[in-house]
Amino acid sequence: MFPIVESSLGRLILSKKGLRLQCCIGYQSIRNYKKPMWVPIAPSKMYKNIVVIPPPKMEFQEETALRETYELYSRSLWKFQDGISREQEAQMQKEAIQVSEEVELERIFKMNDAENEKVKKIREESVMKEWEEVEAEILAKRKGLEEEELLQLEETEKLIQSELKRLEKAIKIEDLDEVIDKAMAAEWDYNFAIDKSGKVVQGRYNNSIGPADLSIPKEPMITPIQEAK
Amino acid sequence: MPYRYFGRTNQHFGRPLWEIVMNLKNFGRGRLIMRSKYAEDCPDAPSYYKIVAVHPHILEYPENFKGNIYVEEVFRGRKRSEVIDIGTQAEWADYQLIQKDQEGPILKKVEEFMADPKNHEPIIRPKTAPLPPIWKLLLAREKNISQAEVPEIPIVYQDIDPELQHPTRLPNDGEEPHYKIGPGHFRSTHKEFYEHVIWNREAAREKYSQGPIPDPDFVYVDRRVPPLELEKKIKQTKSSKQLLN
Repeated sequence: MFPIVESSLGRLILSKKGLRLQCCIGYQSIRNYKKPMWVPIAPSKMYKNIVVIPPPKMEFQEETALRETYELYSRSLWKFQDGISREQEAQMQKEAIQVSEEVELERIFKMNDAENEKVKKIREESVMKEWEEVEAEILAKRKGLEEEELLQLEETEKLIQSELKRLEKAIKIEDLDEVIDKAMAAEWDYNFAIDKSGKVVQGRYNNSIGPADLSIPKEPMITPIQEAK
Repeated sequence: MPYRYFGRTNQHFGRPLWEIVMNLKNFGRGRLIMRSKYAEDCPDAPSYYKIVAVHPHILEYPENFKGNIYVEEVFRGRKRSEVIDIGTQAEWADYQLIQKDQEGPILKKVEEFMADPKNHEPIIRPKTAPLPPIWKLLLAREKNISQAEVPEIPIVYQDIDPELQHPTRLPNDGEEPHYKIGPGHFRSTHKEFYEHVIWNREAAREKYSQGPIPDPDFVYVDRRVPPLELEKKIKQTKSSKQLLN
């Protein structure tokens, strides 16, 4: 029903009436409230002679005298401050009554103008600062873009050169007819065998051109069966 | 078997006033009654009540002791001019009847007290007190004056019962008070408490320190540090022996 908290003494039960300690002895109540009138006196506290020794008379007199002087002084200080604040309030009210509306308005407009100028200066400065920051940002971005473009150009140049190098071996338009003729004349024959080592073994009666042009890997082919072994 | 008292002790000592009054002839009119608390507090100056009239509410007797008891009060040798009603305080068990034999010396004591001119000389209370130092400084800054020119503030006294206390008055023009309050003016009833208090920094230095005043920036130079005792603390193990050798 009530929450239980563990502590160094034991388990504490937090009830409505206070803390209760749950330990090996049993339930011990730790009261943080006054005992009600209808609860009887504990037997352990029944016939005890409670003697309250009052403080010495001299000390009491000294303490009271000091307290009285302090209170007197503080009270008079408070009164003094009250008088000052009342005077100030009265003066403020007087000033408020004396000043007419037009004068007050003029004063307010003047104040407003001065405030506006101040704010304008501050705003200009802040805007200039902001613009400088933005300019710097734009310039930096531009620089970066230019660099990127240069890099891209270089890359493209490299690519073009490599492509050109590659195309040197390619078939030219002049030699196209010859090549076509050759290709047409070529006879492809797949009647051959290949070893595991990639060696081509041709038949006895076929005369083909093809196998020589086939792209056969130099390294020997490895079958999955071989690999497993 | 001896008596054994238990429970809380009481500050009062005596009987309730109703018990005394109801058992006396004519409700004890003209008799003197003493309060033990007052006698305990101030035994030299006597204080007592003289009963003038008693109007008990008989309908409520004995369930509730209520009524009016009109008395002439004499508190610490000073007499109150008006007759007062102490019917509400009569329930406290603090009253003792003064025997007729003992009335004479008490009255004589009061007469002596009243005859002494020392008890009638008024104490002159201060009219003004100085401001606290920071407040003074702020006021001086506001008004562009020196701190000595800042005026003192008036002291606001609450009502004091002049009849039953030592007479006091405010000073006239050009008169100095017997004491002062505020910063710089300390007043104590018992000076025995402050015999061993050192108020001044210089006095403390004279009492406790010797030689010239040390420079606070170079205090660490003369600081004495106790010597380190390493040998005791280190337990000699194999590794420590190797290290030491």
